[in-house]
Amino acid sequence: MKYSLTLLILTSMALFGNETQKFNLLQDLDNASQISTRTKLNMNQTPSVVSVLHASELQKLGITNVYDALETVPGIEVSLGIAGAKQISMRGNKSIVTDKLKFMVDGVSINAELSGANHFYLNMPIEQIERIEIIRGPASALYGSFANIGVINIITKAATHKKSIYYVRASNEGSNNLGFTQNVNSKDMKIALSAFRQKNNHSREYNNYSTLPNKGPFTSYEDFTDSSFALNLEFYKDIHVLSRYLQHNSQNYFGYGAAPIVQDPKNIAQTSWINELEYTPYIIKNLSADLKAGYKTYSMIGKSRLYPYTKLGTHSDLIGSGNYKENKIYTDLSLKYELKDNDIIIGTYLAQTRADNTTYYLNNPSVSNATTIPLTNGGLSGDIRRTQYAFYLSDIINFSEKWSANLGLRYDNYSDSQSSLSPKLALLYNFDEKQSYKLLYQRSFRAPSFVEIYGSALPFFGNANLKPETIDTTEFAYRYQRNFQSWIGVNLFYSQTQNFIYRDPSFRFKNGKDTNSFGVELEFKQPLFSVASVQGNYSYIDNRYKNSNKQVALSAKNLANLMLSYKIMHNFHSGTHIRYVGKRKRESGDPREALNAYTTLDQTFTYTYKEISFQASAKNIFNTAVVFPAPYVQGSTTRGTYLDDLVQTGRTLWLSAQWEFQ
Amino acid sequence: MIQRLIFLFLLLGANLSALEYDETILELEAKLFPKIILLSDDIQKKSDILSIYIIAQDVDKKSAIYLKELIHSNYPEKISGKKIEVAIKKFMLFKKKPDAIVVLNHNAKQLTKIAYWANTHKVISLTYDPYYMRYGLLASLYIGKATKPYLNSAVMKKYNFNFNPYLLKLSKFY
Repeated sequence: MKYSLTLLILTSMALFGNETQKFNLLQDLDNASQISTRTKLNMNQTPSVVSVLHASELQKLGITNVYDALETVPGIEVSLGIAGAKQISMRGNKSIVTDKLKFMVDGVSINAELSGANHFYLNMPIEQIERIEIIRGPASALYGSFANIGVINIITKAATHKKSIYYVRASNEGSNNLGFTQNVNSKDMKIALSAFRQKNNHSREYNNYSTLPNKGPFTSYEDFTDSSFALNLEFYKDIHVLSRYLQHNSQNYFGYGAAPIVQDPKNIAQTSWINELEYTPYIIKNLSADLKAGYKTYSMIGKSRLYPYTKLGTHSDLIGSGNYKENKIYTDLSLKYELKDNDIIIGTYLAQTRADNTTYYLNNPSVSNATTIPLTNGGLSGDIRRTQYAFYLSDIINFSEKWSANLGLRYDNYSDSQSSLSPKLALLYNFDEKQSYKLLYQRSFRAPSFVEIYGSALPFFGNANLKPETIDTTEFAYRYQRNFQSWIGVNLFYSQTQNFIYRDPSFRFKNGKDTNSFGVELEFKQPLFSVASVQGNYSYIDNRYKNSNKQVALSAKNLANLMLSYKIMHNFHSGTHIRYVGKRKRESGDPREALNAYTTLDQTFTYTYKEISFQASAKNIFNTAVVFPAPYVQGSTTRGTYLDDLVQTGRTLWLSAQWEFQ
Repeated sequence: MIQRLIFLFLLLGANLSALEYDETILELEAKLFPKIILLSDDIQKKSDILSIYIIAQDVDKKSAIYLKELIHSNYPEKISGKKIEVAIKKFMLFKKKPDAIVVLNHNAKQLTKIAYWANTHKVISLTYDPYYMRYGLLASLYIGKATKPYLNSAVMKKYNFNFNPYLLKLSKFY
């Protein structure tokens, strides 16, 4: 009897133990599936086209910030816009006055309603980042306005709560950078503090400004300082808090296009502060919620030189000064219902933005340094308030192991602009475990920004009748993934813009100048003869005006990247990045030759001793002339052109050290 | 310019070796591999130590250390009555065989040799990349719409590896 009882208890324990273990495995597999989806590991088998850049790999190639990183993505070309604002062109569509990309940090949009304002986040150091997720095309069906030409989502190390890092980096061209991410984790709570400060002390000379023939060379004042602090909290795995502050203090570079800066450069400080609380509870089995509420502010304060009184013989310019601030509150509430063959998301978004504390002055120091002329409504006319609401629906339907589809629809309503409907249809066919075919159609939109509607002074005259600009894109993607480290992909896309918002020669915003673009993107990654890992891509983009069928100027038709990664020893790594940017055609009426194609080569060596890494990087090793286009201004006596364009820094050496630990 | 690039490429490519490991995949495998091993019918009968060797070349040492640390941090205590011991080894014909091996990158010839040794010695072999199962390794992780254990049915049959039916139900077969 005693023996039988003991046997029964032992058997029960064994069974109980085994069941617990099995249950945990199932839960672990569910968690793993969620992680794979969240980190886009299984993107080959989901109905969307996404690029994921891992910061650990980018760093070994000498990439220092988001701007550098985006250059490695097919279809993306970088350049500089107004007053040195970093500019991203995606598949030939460029942010000019307003930043047209949806830019998110840890899933929180940082776009400001004034003008999209996200370009200064492109300086974000790579050491702060875990990975960058990029949708290379429209995505308004899920992300709403600004997801017009693409979406960039920066996932920081702080958000992953895994690794802590302290780093310092400097270049021979006057840039230096230091920062950290520190995690403090307990069973129920994870805290990550992160901060960075970077400084660029640099200026360069530009010659031959068209309306000032005898006054060159002119200095482009390019000093900037970025200061950032962030707090990421996670409670009980389903409550997340993010607060991120970034101040970008920069000089006016080569000016606002009106004329070069001749003396005493001025500064503008742009500040972005985003705060979001997110709660992601499971309500019942298969039904979860994602509840977000946020508050964010964007401000711009400072001075800029606008007009060259130097032309009149006096050494003083017209200075615009003032400040602008906008506050936005929003909620984004969604439910996700996971059925056997359907993943349904239904959500609603509500936001209110108010621009206040807006003042704007003009000052002509040739008259008096002290006298300023206030402009009514601070250069933006009217009472600036914007209320927006949206409803969205997304359904991922798995018809079979091989076939799945994604149907999406979003309706956005703006109090000061027309409403927009953004549909999405995606079809995925997994031929086998390695090959997938995707066919996608999407319509995306961008609501006119505040400066485009309310601008009332030079150099921006708004237009209250502007319609949202939209873009229709049809895309076909094929991917063959042999294994984790070897794949090829081909994308074909065709896009049509409607009601494209542009600024005419009198500085007024209008709808028009629509374009059609067609392109091919090829990508691959491959271990090469077991001696190296090679990754590359090539993009061909043909972007033409609908009316004239002429090619859109100042963007390259051909772009390519080749990245070679070698581990010489387990603690010594070599990374090589070769970048090709094709010839860029001039605008109609511009008599200058087309901008030459260029190829740059960056070489980076990384030595790791335990948790500390040292890195030496030579960027643009052969000192190739990298020239960004300067737009041509025709027939104006007040505005001119940098006839030799904007020549960028040549060979640059970087040294860095970092301590990374769990 | 082109000549200079080719020269640089040849110079750097002459004696180098490397592959990148995805940290997220390593994290998933560190969590799931020990449980897959423990659901083997053979393992259940053995001692209170679960011995795992990570088979890695020198160039992959950093990733191997990362994987080892992840397994230890996931399972600091005993699991199913077993304490997990992880060691990083270069492949050889081990005198003392472990319960399981996790194989990182090697060339095809080495992978075939490792798989043959593991299968003939009844050692469970798991691989970072499911692609390497073609060389005879027993298991890996399938990352598709859903993540699943990935079992090599031909190897299971040929070398008589048996797993708990519950694991078989959750798995995908190569």
